[in-house]
Amino acid sequence: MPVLNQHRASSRAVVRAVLAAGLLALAGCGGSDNSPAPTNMVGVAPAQASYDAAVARFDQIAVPAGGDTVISAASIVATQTAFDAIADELLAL
Amino acid sequence: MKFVKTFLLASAILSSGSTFAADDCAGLPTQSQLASALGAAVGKNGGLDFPMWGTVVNRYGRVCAVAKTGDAWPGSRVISAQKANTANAFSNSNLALSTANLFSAVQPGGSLYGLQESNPVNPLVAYRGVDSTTYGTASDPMNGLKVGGVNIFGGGLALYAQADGKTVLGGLGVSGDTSCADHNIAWKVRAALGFTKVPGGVNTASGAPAKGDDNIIFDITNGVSTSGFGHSKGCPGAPTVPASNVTN
Repeated sequence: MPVLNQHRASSRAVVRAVLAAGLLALAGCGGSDNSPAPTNMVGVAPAQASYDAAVARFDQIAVPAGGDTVISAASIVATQTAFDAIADELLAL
Repeated sequence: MKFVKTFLLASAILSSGSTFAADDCAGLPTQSQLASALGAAVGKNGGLDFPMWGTVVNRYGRVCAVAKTGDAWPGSRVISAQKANTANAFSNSNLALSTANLFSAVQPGGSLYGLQESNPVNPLVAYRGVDSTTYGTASDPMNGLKVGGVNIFGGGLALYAQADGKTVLGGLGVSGDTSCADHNIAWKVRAALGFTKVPGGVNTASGAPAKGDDNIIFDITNGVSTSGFGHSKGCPGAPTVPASNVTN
């Protein structure tokens, strides 16, 4: 019986924790219109102009040309490297 | 003795490494080959006889070629890339799965429900490029990058090495017509490009090779696919299942 009581107490504690977490989540979101602005990984809102400028630079990355020949491995690496560099900048904004 | 063991271990590692495809476009069709095969396959496929887009990706989902014919729907460019990515992404050395084979499995209650949300298109790859007139040419801006995407109706097929019929080299996707016609066109294009082997598949209908293939299956009755991999017949022109043009 002590084992059963211990189990019940443990279950009640879990239920209370879940309810508390749910209430906290509701208090944080609440479905209100006051949603926080998007932030990056360190919680800073990026400047829109900086974001737009970085995205626009994706258009400028050189294109590996195909045609009658197979696209070369070297041009693939160069394109992906340039792409990743801008993506990293975006994440850091 | 220790030297022998080390040598055998090193040999095993090196030989196992050689079974993985390199992250380049070697062994896959060039853009001009894709454009030529696509142009020859358009028309009389049971659909609307509309012009088409085609995309080839390598084993890692990297775009190696994009082609188009005529005034193909602009929206079908990315769909063709999605299909190529999907067929490559969900085929392996044991089983070839076409995008047509996924139609029933991803519906609510299906064994792969939700798959279509698993690998979204990267819009920065799909829509990049200052000069949009290069879309579908040898200089398509998707070249060399991973576009992603999952598509679950006809038009996408995996590409296997002819040497063993098991090593996936990449995927082919076509789009621009009804989904059934897209499958039929992809079926023709893959064979025309010289890829005629698959290791097996969920289609085991009469005419399929012994271990099955990735041909389209029409076995849906009252909304239920007998095999679990059937495709909708909802395409104008009532396209029929094309004859198998692959072997195991």
